[in-house]
Amino acid sequence: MDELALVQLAQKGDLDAFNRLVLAYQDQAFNLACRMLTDDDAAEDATQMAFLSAYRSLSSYRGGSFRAWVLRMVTNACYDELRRRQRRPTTPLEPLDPEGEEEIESPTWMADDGPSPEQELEQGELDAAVQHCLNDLPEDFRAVAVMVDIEGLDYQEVAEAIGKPLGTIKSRLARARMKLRECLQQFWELLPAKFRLEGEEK
Amino acid sequence: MNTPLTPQDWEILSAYLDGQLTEAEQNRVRVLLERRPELREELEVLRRTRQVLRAAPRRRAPRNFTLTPAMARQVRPPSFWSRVSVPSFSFASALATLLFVLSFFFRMTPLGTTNLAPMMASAPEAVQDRAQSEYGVPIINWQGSTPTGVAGGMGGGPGKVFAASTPAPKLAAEATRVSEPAQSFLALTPTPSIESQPRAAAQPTMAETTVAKAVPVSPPAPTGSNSDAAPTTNGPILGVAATEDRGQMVVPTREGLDTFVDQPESEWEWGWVQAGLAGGALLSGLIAFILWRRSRR
Repeated sequence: MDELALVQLAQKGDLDAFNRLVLAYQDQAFNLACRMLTDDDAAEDATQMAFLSAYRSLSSYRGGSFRAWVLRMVTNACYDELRRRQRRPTTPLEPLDPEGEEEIESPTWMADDGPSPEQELEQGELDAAVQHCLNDLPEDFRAVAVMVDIEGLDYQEVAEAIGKPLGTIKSRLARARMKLRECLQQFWELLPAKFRLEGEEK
Repeated sequence: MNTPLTPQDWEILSAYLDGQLTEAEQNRVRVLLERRPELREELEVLRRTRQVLRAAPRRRAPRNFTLTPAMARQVRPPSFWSRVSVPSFSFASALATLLFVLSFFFRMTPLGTTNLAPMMASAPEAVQDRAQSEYGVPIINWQGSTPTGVAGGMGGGPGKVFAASTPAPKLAAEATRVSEPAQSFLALTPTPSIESQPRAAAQPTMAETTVAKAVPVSPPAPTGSNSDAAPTTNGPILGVAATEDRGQMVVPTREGLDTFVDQPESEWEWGWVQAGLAGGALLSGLIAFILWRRSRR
């Protein structure tokens, strides 16, 4: 059964048809949420909220790329989470020593900046570098860069997902790539050889 | 001297890299790239940046994010039709089943048979017994008067004796015989009657009525003649009973019932009714069950 038929069945209330669509796009949705929010738990919540919103507003789907329509729900859920973080920045609770009664002060919890480039390398070289650089981008630029360069959507799909004109997508992507290029230069010696940005020495 | 690239230059290069320019724009960029080496270098940097991003590992969903029916109902409540359709069809099925069961009981009751003949057949005898007069002939109780109350409630005098009731074949002769003695009532004070005015006008001829005369009941044919004057006139004037029929309790015979009283429900009609009720109960119940299963999916 093709995607359009599944969408039509889902719009009529067929939950099984909708869940088949969920299974088809949940990896992409979760990956986008992870890249947007960094935190895996927050990404899970945002992904689930996105599919709930999609089911609720299925009647508003009027055709076009269903993938883009789903990723729009994910993007909106991520934006909501990011704005919530800005309004209510949360400080994680300090972990308790399970054996002792004294609280353990972990340097990690005390850090107000992200890990340094050297610390990123301990967590995985390429992925950490990319995520670090993506985190430096404004959320609007980050979403475009993730959708185009990581998820592989075309400009038109991204325009539908973001809800912005095509020209805006081109502009944001170009500026995002510029910033990413500058950020990735910090890791150029640590990147695999084939990814090293040759000729970009500081 | 290499001029730094403007944001618009970056945008053009980025779009050119992704093949998002028109044919004319791509040709223009190719010409610029040939003339300006720094553009070629920036384009190469963009290409590798995109390559790094595309090579970044993709996260897989740690679990399924499919919706459960409970989650679906919470997000999208069932429509009004969905909420009322199952109870409606269930109620219809239950009602049809109840009526189907009651129909069996109804058929066994006297009301279900609508057989009036036995009831009507016993009535003449009761009237005759009650109206037996000292003269040995049945006397009609007119308007609640005593059995001998010929002079009873309606104000008639003792002379107001009505002729006896006889079986139908003899009634015709009786009617004529009765007519003569009844002439004496013409001199009496007209009895106030609760009947309609046309009948009141024909009151003198009421004496000619016979008690519980079993007459073949057929729709009285309106006749142009005034049946009031002639005792033997049969067809009543429209709205006015025939002379011989006035003031009497007309007891239809069985043959009269055939043409005058409603036919009792035949067995096959009851069968159709019950079959319809059973079919309706099954159909509405089936629909309710199907809709309920769909709502649970």
